[in-house]
Amino acid sequence: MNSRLAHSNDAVRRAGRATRYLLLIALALMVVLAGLFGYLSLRQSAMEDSIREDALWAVYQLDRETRTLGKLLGDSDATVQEVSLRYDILYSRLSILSNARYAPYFELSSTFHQHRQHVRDVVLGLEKDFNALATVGAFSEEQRERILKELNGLAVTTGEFLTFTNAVMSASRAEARERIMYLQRLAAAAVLALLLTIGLLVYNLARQVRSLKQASSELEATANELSEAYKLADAGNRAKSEFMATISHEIRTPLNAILGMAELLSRGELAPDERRQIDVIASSGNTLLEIINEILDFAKLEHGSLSGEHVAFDPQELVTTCVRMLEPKAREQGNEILVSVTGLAPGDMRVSDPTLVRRVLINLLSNAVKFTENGKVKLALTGTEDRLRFEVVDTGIGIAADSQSLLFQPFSQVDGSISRRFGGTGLGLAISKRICEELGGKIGLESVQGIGSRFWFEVPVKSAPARASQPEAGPVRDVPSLNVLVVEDQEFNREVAGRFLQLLGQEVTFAKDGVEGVKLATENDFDLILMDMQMPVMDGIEATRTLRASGRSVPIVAMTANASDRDRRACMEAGMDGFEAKPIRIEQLRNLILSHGSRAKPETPNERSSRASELIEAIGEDGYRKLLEMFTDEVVVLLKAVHAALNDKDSDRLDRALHSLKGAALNMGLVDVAESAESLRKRSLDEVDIAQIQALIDRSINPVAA
Amino acid sequence: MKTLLAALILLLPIHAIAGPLERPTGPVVLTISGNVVHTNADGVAEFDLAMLERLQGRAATMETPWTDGSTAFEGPLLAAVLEAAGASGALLKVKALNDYAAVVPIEDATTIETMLATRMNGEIMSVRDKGPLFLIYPFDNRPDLYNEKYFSRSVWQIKEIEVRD
Repeated sequence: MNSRLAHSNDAVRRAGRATRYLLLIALALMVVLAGLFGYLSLRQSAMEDSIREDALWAVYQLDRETRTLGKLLGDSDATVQEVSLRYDILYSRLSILSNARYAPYFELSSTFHQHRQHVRDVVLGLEKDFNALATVGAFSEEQRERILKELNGLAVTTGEFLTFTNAVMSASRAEARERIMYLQRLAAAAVLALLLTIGLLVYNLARQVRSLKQASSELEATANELSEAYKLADAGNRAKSEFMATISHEIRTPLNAILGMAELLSRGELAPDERRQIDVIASSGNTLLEIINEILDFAKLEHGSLSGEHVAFDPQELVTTCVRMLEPKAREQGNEILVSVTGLAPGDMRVSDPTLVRRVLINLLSNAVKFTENGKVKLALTGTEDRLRFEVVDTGIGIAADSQSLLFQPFSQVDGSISRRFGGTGLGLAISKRICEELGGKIGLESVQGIGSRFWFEVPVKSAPARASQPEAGPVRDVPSLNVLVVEDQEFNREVAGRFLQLLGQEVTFAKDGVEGVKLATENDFDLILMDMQMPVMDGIEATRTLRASGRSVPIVAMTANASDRDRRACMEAGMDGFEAKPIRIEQLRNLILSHGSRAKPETPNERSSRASELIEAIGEDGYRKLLEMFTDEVVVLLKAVHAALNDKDSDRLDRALHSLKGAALNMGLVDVAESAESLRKRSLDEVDIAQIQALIDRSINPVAA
Repeated sequence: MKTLLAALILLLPIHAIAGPLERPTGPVVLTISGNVVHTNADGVAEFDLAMLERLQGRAATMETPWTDGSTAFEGPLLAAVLEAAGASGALLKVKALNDYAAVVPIEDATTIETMLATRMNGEIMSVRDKGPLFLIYPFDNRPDLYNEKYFSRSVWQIKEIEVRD
């Protein structure tokens, strides 16, 4: 593939070079031709020929005038004037012969010189005689004889001069013609060469075009091959990712059991030695889980399957939850986490992907906590309308300047001793960097070895309307007792979930797969269903869909080791109410029951408040039941008062009656009833409202009373 | 050029146009024969040097194939001479002392400022210096005339011009 491409590249280059040479040759030939034509046109200029002809003509005239004068002298009838005029004409020819323009021709040979000199000598020699003629009137016979003799001699010379000139001129003409012909032949040769060059040029250009075409088709072929190869590689990569996802799931499931059992064990009475061993199991398991999660995350990033969401969230809440998550670890290391927020009011919301932001922040915080001992970790959040900046400053071991650039590369830790001492995959920062890039932000650090590090990252956000600040949460309520269905195929996972739920005082029913889960959920009224995702026969998604399709609105929460965003979305789309990543902790379960329990069935008895527990603890179940009976009687009286007040339209009395009802309910720990009474106080009410509060009271009391 | 020439012709002295031509007082240097109206001899118009030099003329310096370097020529315009002779026709046969003759179309006189030079470098030309008259084309401002066609019409030692139809 490469050699073929290189070959056609070569061909194109060679053809290009040949074209350049040919163009140069053509250019040179054109210059030669232009020179030749310029020279030819100079040579061809009429002057040369005409001067040559004129020179010959001048010599001819000289000869003719010599003979005419001689003839006239011999003629006895000729007048003195005629003879004199003829001499003057002959004389005028002398100056023509000495004309500079003819010189090149007359000076071609010494013969010319001699001839001209002779002519000049004779004509000028006769000048005295002819000058005297005008005054004398006639030549003496002797004088005429002498002049005639001289003129005859001159006629011989001019005759020779004429023939010689003619011969020389002819030769010169022939020579000139020869030269012109030579130049013309040269020009013809140049023209031929030029034509040949142009022909070659055309041929070469055609060849070049052919080569280019070939090269382009080869390029195309190569591109196709490459794209095939890419597809194969991509498929391989996909397979790798699938494999990693599967493997991590397979690892996480037993790990889930290990961690769960460790947690259960640690809740029991243990010898210090055993507790330490359990702690080691738990922390090793957590580390392993962390590593697996990081590798899985990195695989997903490599695969490009990370897709940022756009969700409104409260950055301060995010910071609080992250810090809370890491506080136990920080305490272990003797570290203190300090948080400062600037530019954000309580309840301010921003839009980005909170899950990804949280992941980066947790990574930076856990690094800071991990590499700092007995120090401080400061987290500073700075918010603007379109940007959030998180800075995590620690007083830890720091990073040498030359190692800092390595930090954000996958599988690189500052040095081997770090991984031995602190563990970790070295993927965390690489993942964080990818996430920041994905979110359109950036990440960086400043660090001095031995002093500490400052890691920071910035993400662009959009502003969202602020949320009304929530009232401070009241005292933690006790967990209400719910009827919980756990749908889970793995026996040890069922065991863990069951133990946890029992510990929280829940009624637990188990189903081994989706089908069984659906059957049980249809036949019984559950307050909460914990649903595994991957199960034989029918998976959690399918089971949820079936239940929702049959009109069941019971809260369903997914429990899975597949902690990906895609899974989360799939769960929500199927109609689930929540999503918990495995392994499930007891705290998570408690929160789940608290949030879904009260929401699940508002018509069922609401959970007992801590007040109720307090009462039961203080006076026992029986005492509490008696109290409830008293309360019931009281309620009858109070509701009657409400009725009367309503009928009399006495709002003051009505308000007092409702207030008393609220007070009595609070006294019994019936928070719902109290809240309901309070809400009724705030608006005008009718019989229906009273019937409703009556029903609520009945429901609150009956299960306990029954 | 034509308009200029026409203007020149219009400006010719009255006596040169009207009436019979005066008799030459000096030696006759030029005879116009053939179709001439203003005759002053036996059917011809004869001119001495003074008569010619009184006519509308021009002076110019130029190079010619027959002279060395730049040469100043001076003399009446051929058109003025023909006008003075009351000549009309299509062709001029210009004859030289040695019986050399060239045929010149009348347009060379009417459309070109051709002169009958009487002086070369300010001097009257003797026969020995190609005199007395030399037909000089305006090679100075008409380089296109500088070729054999006009060289052969540039007769020197002129003695007679015959005007023909």
